Amino acid sequence: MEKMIGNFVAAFFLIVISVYIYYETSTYPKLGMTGMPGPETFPRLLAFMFIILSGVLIYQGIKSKVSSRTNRTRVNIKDKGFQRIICVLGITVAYMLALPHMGFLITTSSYLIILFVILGVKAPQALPRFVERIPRGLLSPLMIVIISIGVSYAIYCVFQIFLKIPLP
Amino acid sequence: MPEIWMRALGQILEPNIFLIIMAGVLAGMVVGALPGLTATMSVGILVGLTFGLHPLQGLSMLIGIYCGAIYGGSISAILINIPGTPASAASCADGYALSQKGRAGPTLGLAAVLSFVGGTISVVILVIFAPLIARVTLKFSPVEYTMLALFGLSIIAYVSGKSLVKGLVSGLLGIFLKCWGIDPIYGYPRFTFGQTELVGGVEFIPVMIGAFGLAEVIFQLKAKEYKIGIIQKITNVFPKLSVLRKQAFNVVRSAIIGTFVGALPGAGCDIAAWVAYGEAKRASKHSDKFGTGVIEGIAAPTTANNAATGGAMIPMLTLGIPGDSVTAILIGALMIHGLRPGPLLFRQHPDLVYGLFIAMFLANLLFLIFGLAGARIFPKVIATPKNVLMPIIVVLCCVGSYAMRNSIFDIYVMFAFGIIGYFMRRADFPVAPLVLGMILGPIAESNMRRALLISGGNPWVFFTRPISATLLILIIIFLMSPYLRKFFPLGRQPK
Repeated sequence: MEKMIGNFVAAFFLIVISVYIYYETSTYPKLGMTGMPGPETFPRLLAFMFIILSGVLIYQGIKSKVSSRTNRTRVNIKDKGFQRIICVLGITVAYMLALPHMGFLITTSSYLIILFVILGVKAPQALPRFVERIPRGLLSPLMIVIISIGVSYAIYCVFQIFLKIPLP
Repeated sequence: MPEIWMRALGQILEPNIFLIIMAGVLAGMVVGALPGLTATMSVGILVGLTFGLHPLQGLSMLIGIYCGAIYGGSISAILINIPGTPASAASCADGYALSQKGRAGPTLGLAAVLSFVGGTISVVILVIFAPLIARVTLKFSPVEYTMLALFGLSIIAYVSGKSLVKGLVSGLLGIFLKCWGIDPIYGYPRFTFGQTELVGGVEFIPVMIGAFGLAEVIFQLKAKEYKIGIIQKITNVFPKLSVLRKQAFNVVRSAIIGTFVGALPGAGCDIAAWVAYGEAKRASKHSDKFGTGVIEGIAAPTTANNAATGGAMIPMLTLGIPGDSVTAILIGALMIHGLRPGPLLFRQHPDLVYGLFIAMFLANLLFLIFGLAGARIFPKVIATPKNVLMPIIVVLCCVGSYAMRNSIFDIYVMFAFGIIGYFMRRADFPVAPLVLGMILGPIAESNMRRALLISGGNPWVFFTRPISATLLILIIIFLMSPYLRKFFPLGRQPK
């Protein structure tokens, strides 16, 4: 059953898209000369092909043999990798929403600090001599802050100052 | 004719362009050497840097990144048996085996030299054939362009991924995305969902950055942290002349294969490398030893994958049809600067076209120099932890998406397609056709409608013009070939 899920889900979306295309294009006015393709022609052609392909996907999904590779569209909520992704994506959404209001430098530095902490960034074992005086417990947080602010400023300098491409 | 070359050379050697090509090649090599970052992703994320530059500057930089990244992928393939880019997957087996025998340095040097040779041969072929093809395509009408776009899409669907049907679905979805916005003939708004941001349509760059960049980051974050094995010490980087002489025929064959495969729309450097590897194995007297550390096994793919870069530029410059996903981005970059690739580009902007030829040769030369000189530095680059790299890439994805139109909406589009791209890949739907469909879709639709307007609504015009009919037959053959092979298998039947 799992093996069919990916194909069935895709076929379902294709059918929904096709139905929507027919509905949307039925509201378009008739433009141009009779018999000439209007704005609705090409999308409807695509919708027709989507219907055919969704039929093929359903057929292939039913016919697919048992294989050792299970369908990978199933998600396991308890999987730590999945939880990590959800966390990162959630913080990324917050980053995108905050960008226009708080500006690039503050938002990006904060975003990187948070992600580095969540992803467990740590100072390397082998360190230069001048760094050895810093207490071990402070090294990783200090490194995270320096990298976050440094990278944010570097990107800002390259885009905004050097290339004159405005950032949020 | 020589005056164009001299003018183009003069432009490329100006410090502002030369230095930017250098920076592009270095950035490409670093990105290519890092597993998980593809050439497409790096070019896509950094295309935003070109918006403030002169077209020749911007495109030269992207070409530098492209060529550098394809070579850079060989570095991690050889040192840690993980391809830096899909184009170097074929280099892993023999490259890593040679490295494990204590020959990491000479193998890296050989890869650099042969990548340069492959890239240079493809540039020569590009220089010879591109202007000739451009002259032929000046005679193309909207009918031929329609068929060409559909032909490109059929090849892309055929070569991408395991399933032709899923490749077609992906490509057609890309075409559908480009139907959003203003209709190209009558100017009527389509599929805007009442949003003013969608009146201009969905931009290709944020979709591409999301589908290739953010989706890959999601995959990398989900996977467990991989441990890099012990990297061999790098010594004696310069390859021996005797080795190069023995590989001469293999290299030339692989370069031609790479250029030809790269010129096929949708077939990129990864396919070129595998085809060349397969051919080298078939032609070798020691085919059973391939994978155990045979020089031919590393020479063929490293030559072919860089040769494919020049080949991919041929349809891009002459027809406006992308040879692979990177050249699709280059088309996008050209259009952002108000330039349309195709035969008219050769007529109206010859300095730009010939400048790109020289930039490509220079990029190949620069990665050879940096590759040989910096071979000892790359193990340190490869050791960059993913949990530091991935968040920075997400930031670059957001910046790259925003930079084009200064629109936060494009960042949201990038994010949405990052998630869509992730699930597409999990369900074995290839992402490359989606992106390429967005380039080919408008070409197919606007030319199809123009062709029908010119012919008075007569659809037979697609079947009666010779080039169009030929392309149509080829499209049918490509789409039917997986099924034809079941009924008409080639080769001997097993007893």
